[in-house]
Amino acid sequence: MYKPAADILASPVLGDIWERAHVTKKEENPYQELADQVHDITDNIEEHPKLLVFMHRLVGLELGALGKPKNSDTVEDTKLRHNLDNIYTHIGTLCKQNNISLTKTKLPEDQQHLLDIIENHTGQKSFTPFKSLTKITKNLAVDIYDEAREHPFMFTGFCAMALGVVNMSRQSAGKFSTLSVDPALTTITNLDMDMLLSDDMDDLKFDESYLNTDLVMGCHDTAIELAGMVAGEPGANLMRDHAPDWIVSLSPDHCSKVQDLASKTQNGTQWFFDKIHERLDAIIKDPTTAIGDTMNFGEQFQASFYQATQATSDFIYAFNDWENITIHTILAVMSARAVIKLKDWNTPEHKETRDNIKDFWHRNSIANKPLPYVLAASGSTYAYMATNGATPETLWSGISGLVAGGIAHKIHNKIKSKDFVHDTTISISKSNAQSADPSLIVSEQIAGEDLPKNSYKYKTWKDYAKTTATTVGATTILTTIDAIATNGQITGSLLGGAIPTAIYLGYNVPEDAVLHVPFMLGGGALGAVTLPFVIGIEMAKDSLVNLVKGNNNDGDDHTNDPS
Amino acid sequence: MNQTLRNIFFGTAASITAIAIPSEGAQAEPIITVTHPPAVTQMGGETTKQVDCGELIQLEYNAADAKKFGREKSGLYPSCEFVKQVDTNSQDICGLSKNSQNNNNQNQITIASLGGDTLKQKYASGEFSAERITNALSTVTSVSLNHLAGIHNDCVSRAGKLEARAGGNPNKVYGDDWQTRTSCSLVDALKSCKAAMTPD
Repeated sequence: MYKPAADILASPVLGDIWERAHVTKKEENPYQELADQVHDITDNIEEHPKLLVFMHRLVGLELGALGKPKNSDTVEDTKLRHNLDNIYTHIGTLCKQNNISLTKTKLPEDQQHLLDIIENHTGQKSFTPFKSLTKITKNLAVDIYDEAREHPFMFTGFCAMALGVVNMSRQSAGKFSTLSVDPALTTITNLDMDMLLSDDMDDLKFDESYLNTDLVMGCHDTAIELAGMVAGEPGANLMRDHAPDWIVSLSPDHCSKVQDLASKTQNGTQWFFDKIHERLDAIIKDPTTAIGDTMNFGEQFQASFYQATQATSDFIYAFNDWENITIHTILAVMSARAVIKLKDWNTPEHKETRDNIKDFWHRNSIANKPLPYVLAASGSTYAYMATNGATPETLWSGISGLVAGGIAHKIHNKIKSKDFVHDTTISISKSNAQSADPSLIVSEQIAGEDLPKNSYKYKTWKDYAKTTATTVGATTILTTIDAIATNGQITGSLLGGAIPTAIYLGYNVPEDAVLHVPFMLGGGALGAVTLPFVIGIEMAKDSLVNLVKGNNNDGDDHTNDPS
Repeated sequence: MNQTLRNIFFGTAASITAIAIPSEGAQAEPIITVTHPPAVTQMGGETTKQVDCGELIQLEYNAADAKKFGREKSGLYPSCEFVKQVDTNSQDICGLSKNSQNNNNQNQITIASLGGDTLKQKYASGEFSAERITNALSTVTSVSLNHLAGIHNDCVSRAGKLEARAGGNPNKVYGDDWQTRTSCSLVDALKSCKAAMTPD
């Protein structure tokens, strides 16, 4: 009875899919290994709960790929669906009888991965932004934790630097490229408060004799303003009060240079956050406000809605700023370190990393997935031409093209998923053809038992109607109570907070992906620039060590020389 | 967000509120409250500052000057202390704005730093002329606008006008939208002081 599942696993199609996803391990084919395990079972199958669950999920994926019954189905399709459904139902019942959980997450990670590959290949992977965000966050957290554990000082330093940048960018500096005072301002002789009040500067008088060409804002003090009172003051005070003159004399205008750099950095980060906030406004806040405008459920409802939207958006913007800078700075550093590690590329301990990178690029190569590349290039080129140069839109359009290409491939996979089922179940179909009653293949094991049918839930309209009715009913009751008790304030607050949060969760995944690119490229470039120096230093170190060793050996030889 | 959006978002435009608090002594000048919106504060939060209207300076001309200028009093000027109290970070603009020749007692900032009472005394004693004092205070006003706009994104439209009148390019210094960034804590503080000092 389990032969069909083993046959699916042993199918050459799955071997091909595995090879496409893991080209460096193409000889290993774990699907075949699992098929062998199933074939080798001599005792009761219940003694192998994980295999049972895996087969249940596998057959479920086959059924999902086959799709709902249609009038256009061939006799072969109908037989196949019937047979797979029987197998699915039987395994499910067996698991239930033996108290075996059918949850996928109970499976070993490598087996979950094998199921994921099939799920992806047959276009059954659903769009779950929250789940994706959780997964990305979890993986990122692990990576970041590893980085912090391995390089605590560097990690702390970069975190502090990132927080400093966020702090600096939150300040409301203008667009000064320098902080010197325009000398012409010192020649104004009659700027009083009445003139400021009237906002009329036409009667300004100038007297060149008051021209002061070297009036500048105190460098250290304004640096404190820029860097923030907490971060900047101790450093600036230390320099001003305790730095030896000879240090200052090395670069008399050091403060102006630092100040200028800080100012430019601030302008850069503000520009960066402005762009991010513009997009957040367009994607999160504006649509939420527009939704609120359409919900005329009374003034108190709308006031609560807008208040919650504003508060939630403020929090999201602040969190997003912090997340973007801190996490991506660390990613850039990790990326730089990864490039620096390339010097050890050929050592055996890096084989795993090497293989993973090769697999990734093979899996996502232009030969395997051409559309994302074509559409990304097309999107970027269009944005480049439309905006007359490389702007953030160039990147966004490229990423959009990448996503569109990915979706197109997914749709293609979904359409072709029936072929996949036929290809992986050829041997089962043959068995069906030889059998008068296909269900006997499964029913002989548990003869006489009344199996629940259609346990692979193709939801009917009744199922959907039931769920919808329950949800609508409960929501109506709660909102009615709220409308009577608080004029809809609670509902307004909940909706005003929930809508931007939900949009943000969906938005943050592609936004992070977009920001990964420049930060990781930047980090990689930094690593590439640093790499020759690291190699040079190591070579020099090795040469020195060899030289010292050589001298020592030379000495030893003389010492031990019997002559 | 560009600056215009930033202004709308943070509600910068004319959102600084100034509330007069009655002073305790009969002779004391009123204390007013200036609220800086998030767009002009260091960490993006709202900051409330109390400002002593007595720190504004106005010279009462002697007879000769009254005749010369055709008025009894000079214009009203902010002192270094007044600007410091308005500044969101309480920065001393006069202290920050130092001439490279710090010992130059003749420069306007140094004169203005002496404070209102001292300046009035020096005017009364004839040590400083009215022009010298008002020129120094005028410089404080222009440098303060320069600081508030450049560092705090505040009073930008006025600083831009000043820059333009002084022959500079405000678009380059403050961005193309400088004319739309009209909120100014210094002006709001002055309005509140005037209102508080005007007898009902």
